[in-house]
Amino acid sequence: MLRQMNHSNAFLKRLLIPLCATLLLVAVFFYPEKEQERRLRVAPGMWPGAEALLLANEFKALPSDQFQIIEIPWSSAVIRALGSGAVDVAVTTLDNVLRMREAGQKVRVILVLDQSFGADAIVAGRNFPDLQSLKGRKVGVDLRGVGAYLLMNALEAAGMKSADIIIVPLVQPEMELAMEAGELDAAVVSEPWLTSLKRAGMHSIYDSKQLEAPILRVLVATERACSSSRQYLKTLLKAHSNAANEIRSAPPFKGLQSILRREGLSAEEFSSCLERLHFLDVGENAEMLEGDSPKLARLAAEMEKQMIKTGLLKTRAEDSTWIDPAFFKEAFR
Amino acid sequence: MKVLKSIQNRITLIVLLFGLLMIFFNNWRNQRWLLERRLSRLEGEAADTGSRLAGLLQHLSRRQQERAADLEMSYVSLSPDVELGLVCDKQGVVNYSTQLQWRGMNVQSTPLGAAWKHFAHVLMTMEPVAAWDGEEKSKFVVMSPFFESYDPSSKAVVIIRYDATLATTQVREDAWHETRRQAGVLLALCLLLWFALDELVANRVRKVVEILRAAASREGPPKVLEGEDELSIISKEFAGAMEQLRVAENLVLDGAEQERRKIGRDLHDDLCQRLSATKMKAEVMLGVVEGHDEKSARLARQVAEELAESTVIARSMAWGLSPVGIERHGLKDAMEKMVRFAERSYQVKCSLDCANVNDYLSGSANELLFRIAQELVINACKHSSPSVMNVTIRMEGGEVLLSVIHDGKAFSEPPPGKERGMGLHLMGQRLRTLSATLERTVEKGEKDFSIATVRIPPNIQQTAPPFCSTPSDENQSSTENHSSSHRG
Repeated sequence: MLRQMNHSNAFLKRLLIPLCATLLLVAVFFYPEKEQERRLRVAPGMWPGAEALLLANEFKALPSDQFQIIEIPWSSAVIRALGSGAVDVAVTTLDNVLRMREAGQKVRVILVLDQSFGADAIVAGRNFPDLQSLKGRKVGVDLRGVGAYLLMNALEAAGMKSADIIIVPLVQPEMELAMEAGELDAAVVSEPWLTSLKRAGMHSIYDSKQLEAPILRVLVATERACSSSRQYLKTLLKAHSNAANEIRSAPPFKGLQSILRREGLSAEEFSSCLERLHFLDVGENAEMLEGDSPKLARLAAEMEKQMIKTGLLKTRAEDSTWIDPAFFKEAFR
Repeated sequence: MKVLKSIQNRITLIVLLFGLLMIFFNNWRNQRWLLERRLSRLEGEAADTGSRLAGLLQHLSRRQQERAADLEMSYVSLSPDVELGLVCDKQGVVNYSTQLQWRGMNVQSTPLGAAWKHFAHVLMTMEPVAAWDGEEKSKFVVMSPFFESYDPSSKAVVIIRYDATLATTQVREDAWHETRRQAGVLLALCLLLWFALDELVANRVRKVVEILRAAASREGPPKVLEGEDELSIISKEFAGAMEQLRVAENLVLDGAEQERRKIGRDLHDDLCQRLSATKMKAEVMLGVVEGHDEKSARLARQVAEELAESTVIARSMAWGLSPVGIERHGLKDAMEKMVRFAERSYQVKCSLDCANVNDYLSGSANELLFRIAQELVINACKHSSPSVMNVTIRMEGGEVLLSVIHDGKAFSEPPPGKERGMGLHLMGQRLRTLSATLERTVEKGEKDFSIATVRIPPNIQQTAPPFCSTPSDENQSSTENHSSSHRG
């Protein structure tokens, strides 16, 4: 018996080396091909609430070998870049997320940055005191941006229809020049162009404070980025949170000059901009993103209903997994 | 470095080291090649982007399409290698930028201020330039001039700086990734090589060594390694050579034995007869002179006595050289004579217990056993100085067992480098012929006893070759010579 056992042991020992070699060969055979280390491409767009991301980059909180910040000056271009896969993460509005979902784009909301309290508005010259006065007038609006949602809600609130005005499709950076040139009577703009136009003597006749479903700026990531760049996304959220705290602190703070140059605003104007925004903190984000029925989903449903009603959306999107609180939880819990 | 003593390990290690050398060389070559290709692609992309952007911006500027130009700059920044891109007028004011914070500023205040200074001549020559910024090839700058309007003085320039650090790092990581894969394959192959060498060579070499050791210890005929390979051929050749050697050895021993027998017979038939005749003549002479000449009579008596003694010695010598009588009187009788001889010659008190083993041993085997016992007894008497000795021959478990026990010094092997004596050599040869084993032990007690035990297996007892055993007669004969000379 003992001899048989010794025999078996010796046999196993003899097999050990070829077994190890075979396992090693199999491991090498299945050794994964090296994926090209891609940096996480982030498009913050032009929005004061997204400056925290640019500031984090400036503070080197987003290492250059992991993150690539792509500055695209208007929101519709950001959406196109996200849709084409040219960027992985972008700052956009909730209504744009709904449009992307309708178009079948696989994106996930990973953070709610802020809520607009007047930072998006319809502005017009002094001779147009209200929306009614814009009947038959040219109104510039970015039809692929939040402006369309704001305008449709404003018209509905004023008992008007889109046919009552002349809609001129423009992107945000073009509004100022078009207004100066007298090509428009009114424009639907967001910050920082809102401040620029007010500086030029325009006044707000309708703004986001008056909306039932508020305008929320969210951080969205592509599905691919969510699965392949989890660590980077967590780093991004943390870095954003720290930089946002810096911005919310009393100016002047480090990096303010860069922000002012980028936004084309003075320090006072920038402070004023921030007053029209409500940055959501960790607790509010938890309320927005987490739970069986997150608040963001309810707000989105409300907005979706409104957008379908005003013709901005045709159908209700089926995809129910567009909110991903995992990164937020991992970054802040 | 015991590990390196094995050829199997040496071969594996050499293959591993050589393989690693090749892999690292390949890694170095691969890195260089990939890097050159990647940097060349970056240079091409930079030149293309610069000239394309210059052409496009010239067109957009002339049509005052500033926003489109902004968007173009954003698309430029999509390239992972672009660090910063600026479009400046001839005064150095930044009109467009991949990073919006530099828009409207002077290029000197931006990170591309140095490049602007370095390539300022571009605005004079209006020829694009593209060059690496420094020897280490980490930054690549491209400057493409264009005209903002139809006015020839409305010069502007696109400056883009590419950072090759990421590309370089990626190339290196790619090369190392491939190197790790190759090293894994090499390691697995080396393990397999080691295993194959162990199975095909080392194991078989170990078997050959075992066979050689067995042959050296003379445990039966040499075995042969199975198979048809080179080691098997060596093993077969060795076995053949060993067989031939043993046959030759047996022939030599046989010859020597026959010669000794002849000398023994001559001694017995000639010298002993002559001595007996002379002794008788001396006794006759004693009878003649006794009573007449006392002096001569005493001398004749002495001569007769010494001749009688010499005759006995000569007979013993003859018997030692040619132990006639084993066949006729049996092993016991021969053993008895041998023991008495030892007793007489070395003053050792000897006892003999000899069972009848004639039914178990053939005549030649009996003779071989006698020679072995003779060697053990005489050797012990000569070298161990015992005072008592017991020789036993008996059957035990089907084996014939011979034991020689004495109270003298224990047997010790000759020191390294010193050859065994002829007696031991011959005894070994006889043991091998009988397939017998010799075991030496010491029994400790009030007085130590050395025990030499010879066991003859049952299957050999009747099949021992008809070999004329070679006595260690030189022991007995020399002993007898010695004693006779001593007595003489």
